[in-house]
Amino acid sequence: MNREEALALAAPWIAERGEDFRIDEDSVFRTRDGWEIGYAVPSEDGRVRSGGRWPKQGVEVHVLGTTSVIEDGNVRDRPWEARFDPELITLPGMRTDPNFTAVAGWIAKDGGEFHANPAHVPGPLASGDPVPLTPMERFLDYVDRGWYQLDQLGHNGLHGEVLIPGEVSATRFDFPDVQPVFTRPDLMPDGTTAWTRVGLNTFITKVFSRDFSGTRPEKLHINPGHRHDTELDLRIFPDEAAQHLRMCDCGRYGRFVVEHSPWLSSADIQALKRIASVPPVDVVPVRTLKIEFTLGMDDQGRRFLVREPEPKQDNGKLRGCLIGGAIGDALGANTENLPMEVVYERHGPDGITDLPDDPAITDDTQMTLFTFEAVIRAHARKRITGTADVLETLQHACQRWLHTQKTPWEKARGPLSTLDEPDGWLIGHRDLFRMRAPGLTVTSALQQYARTGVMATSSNPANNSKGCGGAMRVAPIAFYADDAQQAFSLAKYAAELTHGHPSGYLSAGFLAVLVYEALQGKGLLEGVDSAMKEIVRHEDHEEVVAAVEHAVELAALGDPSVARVEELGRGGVGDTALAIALYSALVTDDPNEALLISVNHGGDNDSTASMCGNLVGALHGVDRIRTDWVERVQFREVIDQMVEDWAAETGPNPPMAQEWFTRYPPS
Amino acid sequence: MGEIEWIRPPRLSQVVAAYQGFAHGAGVRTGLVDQLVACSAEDPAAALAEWAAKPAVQPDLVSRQVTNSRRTTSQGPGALIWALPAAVRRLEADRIRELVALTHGEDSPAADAVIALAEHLFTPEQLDPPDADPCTAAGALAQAVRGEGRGVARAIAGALRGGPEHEIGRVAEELYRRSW
Repeated sequence: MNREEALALAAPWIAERGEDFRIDEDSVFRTRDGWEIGYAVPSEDGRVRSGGRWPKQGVEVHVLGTTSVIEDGNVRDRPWEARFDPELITLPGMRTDPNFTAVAGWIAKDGGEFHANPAHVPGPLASGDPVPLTPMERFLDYVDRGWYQLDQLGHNGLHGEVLIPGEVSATRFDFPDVQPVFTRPDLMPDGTTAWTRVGLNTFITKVFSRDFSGTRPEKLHINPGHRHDTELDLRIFPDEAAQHLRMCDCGRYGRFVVEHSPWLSSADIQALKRIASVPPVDVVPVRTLKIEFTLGMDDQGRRFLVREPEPKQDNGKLRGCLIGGAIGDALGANTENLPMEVVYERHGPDGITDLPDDPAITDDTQMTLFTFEAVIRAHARKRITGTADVLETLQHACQRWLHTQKTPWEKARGPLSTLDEPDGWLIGHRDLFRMRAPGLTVTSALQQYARTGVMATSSNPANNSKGCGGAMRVAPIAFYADDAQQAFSLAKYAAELTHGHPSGYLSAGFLAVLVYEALQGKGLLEGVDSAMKEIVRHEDHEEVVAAVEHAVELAALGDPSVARVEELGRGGVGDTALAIALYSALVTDDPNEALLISVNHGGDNDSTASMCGNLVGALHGVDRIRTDWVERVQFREVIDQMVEDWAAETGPNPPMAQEWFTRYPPS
Repeated sequence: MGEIEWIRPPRLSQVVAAYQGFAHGAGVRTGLVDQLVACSAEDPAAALAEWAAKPAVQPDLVSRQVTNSRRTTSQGPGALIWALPAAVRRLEADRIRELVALTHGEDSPAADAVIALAEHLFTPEQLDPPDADPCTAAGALAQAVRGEGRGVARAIAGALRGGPEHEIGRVAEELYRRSW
C-alpha cells in the first residue's frame, strides 16, 4: 500500500467524522503497520495543523485495509498485531520498534489467519547471509535489511561495542577526523597489537563530555572494507544519542578497556630475546618471579603463546543426567500405564530388570534433547547478541519437536521461524521422527501456539493440565541456570508453555532445582530445601509440596516396594511423577536400583523413570550407571555429542565460526 | 469466623495427652514435633526462626520457610500445628490468625481450619469438618478426624486421640503452667 492508496482509504473515513476535517499532508507517516494520517479543521489561513508526528486526531490505515482511530498520537483498538521477523532480536538498550520491512505479518487480535507482509525482508539465516557475531554487527545488519535506519542507531544500537585500534584514553586523545573502528578483533588491520574496547554509549559520553581534551573525531568508520562497512557521522549522531543517554543513563558506567592482540609483534620477540640474553647477576633477590611459556607460530608466520592444555572438564554428571533419563525412559517405554500384573507376566516376578532388546526412548527423551538444544542455542544467542530469551528458544525447540511428530513444518513452526525447514543440528537426526507416545496435552498446546503465536503462561494458560509432560523435559535447564532461583523460574516458564495447572509447572521448577543442586554436588534433601525456597513464592504450591513430603516420608522408611511407589500415585501428573522420581532416588544409593524402582509401577513409568534417571545421573554421575545400559540406550551418541558441544559453547574459547551458528542457530 | 467461645479451660492431663498423641502420630516425622515445641514457646516467631535454621527430620516444609521473605500465602496442613498451643492458651481468633501468618502467610485460608481445630480440641463434641483437598489444612483436618491421612493429619489425629508418654509432655506441662 503506497501513500496515495492510504490517503484514498482515509479520505472517506475522515469525511464521515465531519465535513470540515481535512488531511494534514505534513502528518502522513509510514509506520510498521501501514500509514498514520493526521487531520484537523483548517485554520483561518487555510492550513491544516493536526500535530505533526503525533497527530491529535488521526487515522491509521492498516496495510490490510482496516482503519483505527488515533487519539493524542495513540492508535486505539488496532485489530491487528504485528509479528516481527523471528530473527529480530531485541538488543540490549533498544528503545523503538523496527520499520515496516521487519514485520513478517499480522495476526488478528481475536485470532485467525496470519497475513504475511509482502514487503517483509527476511533475516540473515533465512537469507543465507552470515550470522552477525556481535550486537553492533547485528544492528548494522538490521540497517542493511531496512529494519532500522542508521540514524536510529542513537536510540537502538548505542549499547553495542566497537574496537578502536591502539590504546585510547577516555579523557585525552587526538582522534583523526575519521576514526576507523571494528566490531571484532579479526577484522582489525594486520599488525594491530592492541585495541580499546568501548561501548558506543560510553564513547559518546566520555569523548563528547566537557572533561575530554584533545581532538574529537568527526566520523566513526565502522569495519572499513569489511561487511557492514558504515560511516557514522558524529557531528549529527550525538544529539540522537543524547536522548537515549538521558533516558537510559547507560553511558556513565562503561569503561575504555585496552585489550591486546594474541599475536606477538616483532618488537615483542625482540624484547624477549633481549631478556633471554641478559646475563644473570649474583645478587640475593628480595623477590622473584618465574615465568614459563611456550611460543608457537602458525602457518601465516604469526607468533603466539601456546595455550597450556586445560584440565578436561568432567561432564560425568551432565552425561549422567541425560543418559540416566534416557535409560529410565527406555526401561519404561513398553509398559507405560500397564498394570503391574501385566508387567509381571511379561518380565517375571521381579518386574522390569533390564533394558528391552530395542532400548528406544520415547517422547520424554526426545523433548529433553530439544530442551537441551534450546539451552545451547540460548547460550550462543546471548554470547553474540547480549540477550538470551531462553523462553523463546525453548518454545521454538518445542515446535521443532512437534514437527518430528508428523506435523508439517509450516503448521508447526509458528511465528518463531520463517524458514522452509527447521534449522539446527539435532533435527537432522531422522530417528527423532518417530511417534513415541507423545502426550496429547503437549501436542495440542504446541499446535495452538503454532496457530496463534501466543506463548502460554500461568496468567494465560494453555490449558488446565497438570500432566507430567511439563516436568519430564526440563532437566537440561539446570545446566544453563546460574542459581537455583533461575533454574526454578526458567523450568516453570518452560512447562507453562504446555501445562496450565500449577502442579504441572511447579513440579517442573522443583525438578530443575533438584538437578541443579545435584550438579553442584549437593544431596537430594539439600535440593528439596533449595526448591522449597522457590516454590513457596508461587500460589497453589500445596499439591506439589504434599507430594514431595510424601516421597521423603516414604523414602525414610526404606524397604522400597511397588506398593510404596504406587502409594505415591501413578506418575501421570507432575506432582506424583516428581514424587516417584524423588522417592526412588532417595530410597537407595544405587542409581541402577533407583531406576528400576521408579519404573516398576502401573502408571506413567517411562516418565517417572526418566525423571528419576535425570536425578540419579546428576547426583552420582554416569560412571555409576550400568555400563551396558549406557552403551545400549538409544541416542547415547547424540547426548554425548551435545554434552561436548555444551562444554565448547560454555568453555573459555567458545566457537565463533559460522558453522557453529548453523549447528546451533541463535534462535 | 467469629470469636471463639472458650467454654472451660482444658485440664493438664488433656493437654499432655494431646501433645503426646501428636508426637506419637507424627512418628518418624520428628521435625513436626520440634515445630510444635517452637510454636509452644513464649516467643514463637523467634523460636520458629531458630528451628528453621537447624536441621530437621521431615518437618513441615512450608513452615520451614518462616524466614523466607519472598514466600506467598500457603494453605498447607502444617498450619494445623498452631491449634495445639492456641487451644491451651485459649487465644482469640485474631491472635490465631496472626500466628498462622508466621508460617503460612497473611490471610492464609488454613487459619479457619486451625481455629476450628483449636476450638474443639479439648471439648467432648465430635468435630465434623467438611471434606477438602488433603493437601490443605482443611482437608488434612477432615482426614485427621476420620483417623486417615499421613504426616500432619496423622499427628493431629494423634492429638485428638491422645497418646502414650512422650517427652513432649513436659513442653505441654510448661505451656499449661504459663497459660495460667
